[in-house]
Amino acid sequence: MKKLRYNFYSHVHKYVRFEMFEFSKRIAIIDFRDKSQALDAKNQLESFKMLIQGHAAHEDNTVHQLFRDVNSSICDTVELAHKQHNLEFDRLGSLISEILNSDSDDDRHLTGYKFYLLVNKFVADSLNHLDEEEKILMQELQRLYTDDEIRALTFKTYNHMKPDQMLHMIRTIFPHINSYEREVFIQDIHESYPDKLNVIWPDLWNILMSEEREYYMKKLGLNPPSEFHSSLQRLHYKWEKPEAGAALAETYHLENTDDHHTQKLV
Amino acid sequence: MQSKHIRSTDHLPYNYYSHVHRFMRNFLSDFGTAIGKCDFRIPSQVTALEQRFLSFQQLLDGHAAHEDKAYHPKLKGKDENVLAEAEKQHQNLDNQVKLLTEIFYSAKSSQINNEKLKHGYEFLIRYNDFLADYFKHLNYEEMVIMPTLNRFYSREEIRQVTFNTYSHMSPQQFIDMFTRMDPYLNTYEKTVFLIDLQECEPAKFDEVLPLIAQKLSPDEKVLVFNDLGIDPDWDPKRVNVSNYSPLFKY
Repeated sequence: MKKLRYNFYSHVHKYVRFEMFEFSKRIAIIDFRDKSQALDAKNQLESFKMLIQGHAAHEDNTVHQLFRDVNSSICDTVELAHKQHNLEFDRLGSLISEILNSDSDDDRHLTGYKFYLLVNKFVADSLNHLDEEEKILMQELQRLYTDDEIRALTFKTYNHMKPDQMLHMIRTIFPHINSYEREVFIQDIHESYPDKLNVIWPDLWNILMSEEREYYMKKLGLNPPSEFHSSLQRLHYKWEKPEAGAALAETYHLENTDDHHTQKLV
Repeated sequence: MQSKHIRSTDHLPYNYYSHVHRFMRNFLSDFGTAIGKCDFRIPSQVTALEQRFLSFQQLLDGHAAHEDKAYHPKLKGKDENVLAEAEKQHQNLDNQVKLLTEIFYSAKSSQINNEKLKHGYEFLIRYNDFLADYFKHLNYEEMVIMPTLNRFYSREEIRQVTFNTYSHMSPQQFIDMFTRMDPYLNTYEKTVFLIDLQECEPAKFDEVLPLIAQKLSPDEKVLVFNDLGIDPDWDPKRVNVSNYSPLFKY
């Protein structure tokens, strides 16, 4: 049986795609003739931009270091695309400003429609971009490094994360990935920082399906949690909106693991 | 209930792609999210995904057939380059769906778990390629085809395409269509939809309005009803929709 190679893009990208689709859906229902709705579109754009830019910065600074370490320039086009995203965000921001400064319902509607189509163009281009990272960059990493060497990057990230940040990341990603990827995820934490897994285990227990709980107890030698009351902080990333409250807490977002990107949920 | 007053949508370019495409984008992106969650080693999950894949194929076939029949003939003799590009894109998307079908059934029929996961992952990646092309295709239709049609035809001539479609639809089918699209439309799109129906099929409009009005928020109802020339305080009676037959099977 051929072994499956390690892939750290796949689960994160599922979450990023989900957020892109949600952004497109939220913009689709905005009637730009209404200035308060247009203002909402502006806020949605700002949040979405923070997510995409945070994700790109993580890739540029952390993942691409693996290429730079072996003098490979294969990630240059991807980094260029990340810069291009910033220009597209500028263009989207200009359109929103134009809408908010207009006193004509018709002009706001027409420019809003242009904005909506541009958002969907961005989504289409980003789908290609994410696929390129998974098809080209990941395969090149797999060619250059062993699975353990690639996993070391994941472990390095987990080293900097506190248990509540790990739980936050899990809550964010798990709804969008399959059980195979969840297993890889949990196995990584178990192997790299078993103490942190023990801390988050009671909360993780509540996230997992019953058959998964049984499976991991047996596989990782864990016991059912004695206490189900979470002692961990609820966090959010800066592109999340604390005012969205409980609903947001259920759809937690992920990715950038730097401390300044995670804050306590207000 | 018909009115001759000036409506907020009258002087804006008519666009018959916009509302349907909002629904399409949602349907297709939701399917992409569902693929991401599927563990191809688990037969029940693959079977559930297969049902959605069949619905996806049915939706695409129906949508493309409608465009080929209703919209593309309007381009003939007007801008053959735009028409050729549209048809080329449809063909390319068809080919991608065939490839997706092959990959899906490779994953489903494989006897080895790792092979199932590999083919399942390939299906996801290929689907996202397809989705990127499909989103670009929808933008092409809205950014190139629609303005081309607006260049060659008057607003009323283009609306006739919509009116012709509506003439073949039953009130139940309108309710079904509106119910499916409603969550993905803004107030402007809903207004255009209802104005068209009110103008071309007033009897059907009168029949479906009570139910559709129930779906509008209070603020939205004021805006939409103003454009329809109806008193916003009009309170529709509750209607029983349990016996309507859906138009779409997906």
